[in-house]
Amino acid sequence: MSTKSALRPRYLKLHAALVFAFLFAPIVVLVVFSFNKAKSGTSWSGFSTRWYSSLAHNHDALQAFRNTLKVAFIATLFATVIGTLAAFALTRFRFRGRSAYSTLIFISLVMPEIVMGISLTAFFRRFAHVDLSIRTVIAAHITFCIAFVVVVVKARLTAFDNRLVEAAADLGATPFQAFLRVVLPLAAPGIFAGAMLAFTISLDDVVITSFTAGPGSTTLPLYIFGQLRFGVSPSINALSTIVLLSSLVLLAIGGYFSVRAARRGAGAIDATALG
Amino acid sequence: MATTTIDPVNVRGGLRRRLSRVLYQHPRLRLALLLGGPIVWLLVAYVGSLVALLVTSLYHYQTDPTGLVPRLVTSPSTTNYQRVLDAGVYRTVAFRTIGAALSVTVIDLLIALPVAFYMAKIARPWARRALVVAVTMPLWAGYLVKGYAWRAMLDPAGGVLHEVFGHSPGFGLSGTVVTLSYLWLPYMIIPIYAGLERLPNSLLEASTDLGAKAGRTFARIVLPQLRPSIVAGSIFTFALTLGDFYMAQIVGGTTQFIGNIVYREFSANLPFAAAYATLPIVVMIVYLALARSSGALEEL
Repeated sequence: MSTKSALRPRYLKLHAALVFAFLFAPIVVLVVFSFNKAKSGTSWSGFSTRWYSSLAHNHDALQAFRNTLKVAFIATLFATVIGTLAAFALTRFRFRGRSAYSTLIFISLVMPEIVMGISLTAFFRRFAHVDLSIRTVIAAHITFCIAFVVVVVKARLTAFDNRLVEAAADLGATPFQAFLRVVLPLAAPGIFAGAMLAFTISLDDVVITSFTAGPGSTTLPLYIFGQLRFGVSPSINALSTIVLLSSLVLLAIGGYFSVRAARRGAGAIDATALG
Repeated sequence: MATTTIDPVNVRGGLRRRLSRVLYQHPRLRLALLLGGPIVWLLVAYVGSLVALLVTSLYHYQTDPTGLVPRLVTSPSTTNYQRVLDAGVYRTVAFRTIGAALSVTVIDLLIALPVAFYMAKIARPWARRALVVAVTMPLWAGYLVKGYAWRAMLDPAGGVLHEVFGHSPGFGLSGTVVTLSYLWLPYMIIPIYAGLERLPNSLLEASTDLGAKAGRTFARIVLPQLRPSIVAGSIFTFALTLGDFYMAQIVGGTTQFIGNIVYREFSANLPFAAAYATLPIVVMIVYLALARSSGALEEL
């Protein structure tokens, strides 16, 4: 308790309160002004939902939203499979080039986004000779999502108890069965968390997308940015609020399932321990 | 005939059994199958594209004296690199970007340390998890959306900051640094929080019992233990700022970062954009090498 008095918790508490206000203030401002009656994004003139209803008739916005979902779903699917395999290989096997492989994934995680954007463009345009389209966007998204999946799944697998696999083998399971029935369910929360992360990062990406997008592959972030050139408009606030709300709903669903899966995983371990 | 009737279930099971036996007996084959996809993808898409970047940066456009259309010369030359080094504007932009990345890192570190300490050591245990969720929550609100919200806040003509505090840094370099510090703050808080959580309270109590004041305990006990977490957080804040250009466009007024120039040039003059984009790669390699030599990268 002496540390508490020594480190002045009251000032720390005040600081923490200010930081949380700082973190949430811009988001509150944004949501509030999406219900503003006037076109102004800065002065309040009454409550209205007209910016939301105008979105329903906005074809460009809807098309951009569809593109975003398509890219995010396909990229997440591929990145999750590839990233999970890579994480399995990195945690459960010792092989030559393992550390180089880890380093490569780490570097792809920390390289500035413009570097990846421009390198992928150079690759697509100069060497692969493919035109920029929604396919190149998807390929780019898979590439940067893999590293995130690997990191999350790896974290889950390093805590993995290998005796469970041995127990399954003792009880007569083939390695394949052991993998399907023991390893995969226990790793599932990690894989799910990795997929969620990949999905949200893909939904939100604008830097790499702007380098790899061609005609007809405008995603929602690119659309929003394009609209900003025409000045501040509450319909962008409304669109942003919808995106924010859907991410939060997605996050809540993901959180619910990963907690449930973690409980089940823990239950499986308890059962094995008892058996 | 009747005796050769095959039970389909058994065949499937047998095949699967044989397959898994083969895989079990040949761990190298298993490894090859497991790693084949990811390795091919990463090599082609990542290493391949980096090589493509470097090769492209050695091309250059030559203005044809007779025609108007510039001609792409694919024999390697350092023309683009020469241009980057010669023109003062590219040097200024580079230093500005690196300076902004360092400022954002320092600002985030100063804000994050006390907050993370409060979260890990002072808040009640039930509040800790809620606070972690609260810190990560803004990450789920779109990146552009937050930049856009900051535009509304920073607006010198009637923005929220101006209305509430009577002063706003307005659109420019300082506005961009503030916005980027805001955007990347969770990436600094989370690793430091994780590091502090691992730090046993007994260490802090022992230090206090031996008569150390709060500042001394912090400098001699907490900071050295936290170094890997701080380095991890700083890699994120630094790299993310180094590669950003949308915020400079949204809240930066006429401010230009490396990314703005790369983005402006990439459709018209890809070789030059590629050459300029090698700069953040070099900066990042230097930064990672420094982080590694400090021994803080082992934990990642």
